[in-house]
Amino acid sequence: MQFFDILYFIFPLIIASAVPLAIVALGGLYSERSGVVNIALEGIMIMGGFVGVVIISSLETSKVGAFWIVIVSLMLAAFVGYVLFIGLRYLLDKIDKASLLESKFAFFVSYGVLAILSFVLVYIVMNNASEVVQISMIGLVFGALAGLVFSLFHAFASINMKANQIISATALNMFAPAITLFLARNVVNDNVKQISLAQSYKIDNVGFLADIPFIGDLFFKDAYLSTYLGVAIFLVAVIVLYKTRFGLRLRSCGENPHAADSLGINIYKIRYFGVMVSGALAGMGGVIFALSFSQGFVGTVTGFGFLALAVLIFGNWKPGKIIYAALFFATLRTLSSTYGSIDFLKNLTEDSNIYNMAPYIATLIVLAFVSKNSAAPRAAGEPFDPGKR
Amino acid sequence: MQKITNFVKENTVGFSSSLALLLLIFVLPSLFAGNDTLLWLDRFLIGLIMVAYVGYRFLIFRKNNPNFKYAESTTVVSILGALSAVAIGLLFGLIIMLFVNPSNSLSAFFVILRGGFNNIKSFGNMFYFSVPIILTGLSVAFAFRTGLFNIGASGQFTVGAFTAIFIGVRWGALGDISPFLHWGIAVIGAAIAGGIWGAIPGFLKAYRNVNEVVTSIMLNYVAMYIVSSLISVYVSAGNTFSRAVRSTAATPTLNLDVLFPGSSINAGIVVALVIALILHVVLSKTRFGYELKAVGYNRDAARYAGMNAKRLIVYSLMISGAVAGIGGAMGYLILGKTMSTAAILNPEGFTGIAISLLGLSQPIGVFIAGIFYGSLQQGGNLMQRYGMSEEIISIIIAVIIYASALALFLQKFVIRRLKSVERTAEEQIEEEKRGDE
Repeated sequence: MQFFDILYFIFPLIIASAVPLAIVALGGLYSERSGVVNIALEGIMIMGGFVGVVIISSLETSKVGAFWIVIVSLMLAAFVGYVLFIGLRYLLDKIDKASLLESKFAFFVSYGVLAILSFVLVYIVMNNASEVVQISMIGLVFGALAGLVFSLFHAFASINMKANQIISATALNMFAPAITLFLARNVVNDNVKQISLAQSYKIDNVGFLADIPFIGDLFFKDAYLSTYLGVAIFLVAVIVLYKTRFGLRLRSCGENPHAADSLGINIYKIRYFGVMVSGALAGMGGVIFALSFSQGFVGTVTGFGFLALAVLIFGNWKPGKIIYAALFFATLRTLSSTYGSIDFLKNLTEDSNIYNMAPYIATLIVLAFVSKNSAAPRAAGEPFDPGKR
Repeated sequence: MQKITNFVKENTVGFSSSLALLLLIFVLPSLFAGNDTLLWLDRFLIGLIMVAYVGYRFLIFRKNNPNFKYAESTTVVSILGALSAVAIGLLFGLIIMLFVNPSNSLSAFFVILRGGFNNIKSFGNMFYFSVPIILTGLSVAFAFRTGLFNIGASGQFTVGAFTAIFIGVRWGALGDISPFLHWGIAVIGAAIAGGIWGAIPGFLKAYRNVNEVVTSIMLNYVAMYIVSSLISVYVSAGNTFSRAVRSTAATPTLNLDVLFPGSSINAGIVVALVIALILHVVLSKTRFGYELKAVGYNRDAARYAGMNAKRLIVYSLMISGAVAGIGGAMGYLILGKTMSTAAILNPEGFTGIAISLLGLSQPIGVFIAGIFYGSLQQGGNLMQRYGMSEEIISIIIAVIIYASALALFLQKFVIRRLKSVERTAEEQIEEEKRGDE
């Protein structure tokens, strides 16, 4: 194969695995930055993937009704409205008028207006989108919701009950595959473990953008909806974590919760938020995995959640570096499944396991040699006990 | 020497009953083989001696501690806490079964509850299936007692299992000398491999201050992929499985299969018990164990007291890994058992975490909890007759771990219950006294 053929062949695959990795790792970032270690990402992905696939497969047989579109638009509008609100507050802050939004009334009015606006916008977009986009959006949103709900168990144990966070997460990791396989067998299907999807959820080409030479071929043809969603999630993460008061509070909870507590910040609330966001993103990642890799629900995400954890650590708990780490890991992962068709790599080694384990070894090496500069949140993993100091 | 003789003198009952047990378990059944009545008598005697000994210890304890209050003993409270976690898990399983298949759920539930006690075959299999779990549980528990969280038992189990299979398949020459030598070398090899695999996070923790949880998760996957490659290179059976070990390397049965006919029980359970006892002695009776625990409680204080904290951390995870490696050997040094090259983490390592928690990180407790797990699994196998799928068992286990993660809450609950029970008992006694007056 020629260089460009290889590039066109491999690049979409790399993006396809980099996006879920990055999304789940960003989820883990929220949780760890707020001070809760979340190694339950794997289990949450399975849970989200299951719910997403169940809904998608039911939508495949029946037509997507207005009901679903309204529900999903409402959910998205609540979220998009809040993002817009944060943006508005940020802008006002820049011109020293942030005090305008201090009162509860002002908050509700501005947020309400923005939410209604974004509802209209989202509804129009959703209604005019192709069926592939509609269905995958509904699946992604409900997968995220399922992940969010499931992650509450981890939040409750590790925040309210001050339990060992590794143990409660391990429990979730064991629970998710068991309960989803059980439900798949006994409720959804008749004694069949898998739920497979009939169609592929690739978008053929994204309007005029696909016509741009080279870039159009790489980014806007045969792509998944999740790719663009991933970009949005990354931007939101950077803005929320680094450009807002809330982000500063969230980070301070992960570094020194007692100091944050002394300034009147509600540690419990912020940590709940962190874990819930990580749950939602991991659940969404599970649906993305189900749509692009397993073509359905198979009861596992083949260690993707733990790989995302490695991405998070390799990315040194920083959103920008997480993207590079995700691309790097995704490249290795893609090579492990495609090296057979690339002569140069085929001569190098015949063993796909080498590529598969490379991300983990790379993480180990990075951990061993740059641990001095590690930006790991200092209080991550420690339950917050207000009476401790 | 004086100490030892005193120890023996003080524990005459213990020593004589364990001698009797050894005789009844390992020697007599081979003489009785084929005679059902005598075998049942033998089993009855074994059970009787065990129950009697526990009762005897309990009475002695009551005699020595007349003012013992249950609610004030951390041991009693944590044991009851663990039991209530088990109860919550079982209840959750029952609810799910009621939800899915109401007509069969109760009978299936009682099969799970009876577990290994359903019949003599499942009783033997209960021990057989609990062996790898006990060993990974001991591995996790040992590290936990020294303040480290070994989530890498899965990887250590995997490399141990591969080493055992490799030696069991390729080093047949040892088997020609003596089967026991072949088996022993395979087990030791597995322990060394697991130990090395466990020492890596230990080194990183001690000398580079990297969290052992993260490194051992990474090492789990590295182990999985490396072993998958190694199997296809060295011991492949031509498909996606390894070859099974030679008969000389298989774990001996020590006549246990006579006592529990039809089951796959072997000496693995003896190995597990011996290792549990060794770890118990090391942790609670030796200076080394004391140092390990001290480092776990407070690394800086231990260093201040003159202990080599770094080296102790490495030792701790190395021993932990070795135990998990032996678990791998016990899991795969079995006639006809093969290892898959599929990229799936060994679940034994994670179940080990559950068992370690349930056993309160005490080696003896882990042993008992492991047997409970074996019993659950037997119950799960038999339950499938009632049209219930096997995942129920994993669900129950997961809920048990989650519930034991909430240990503090459960223990508070237990303390409150115990106190109210004791108070009513005291009030009753006082009322009786008043009535006498």
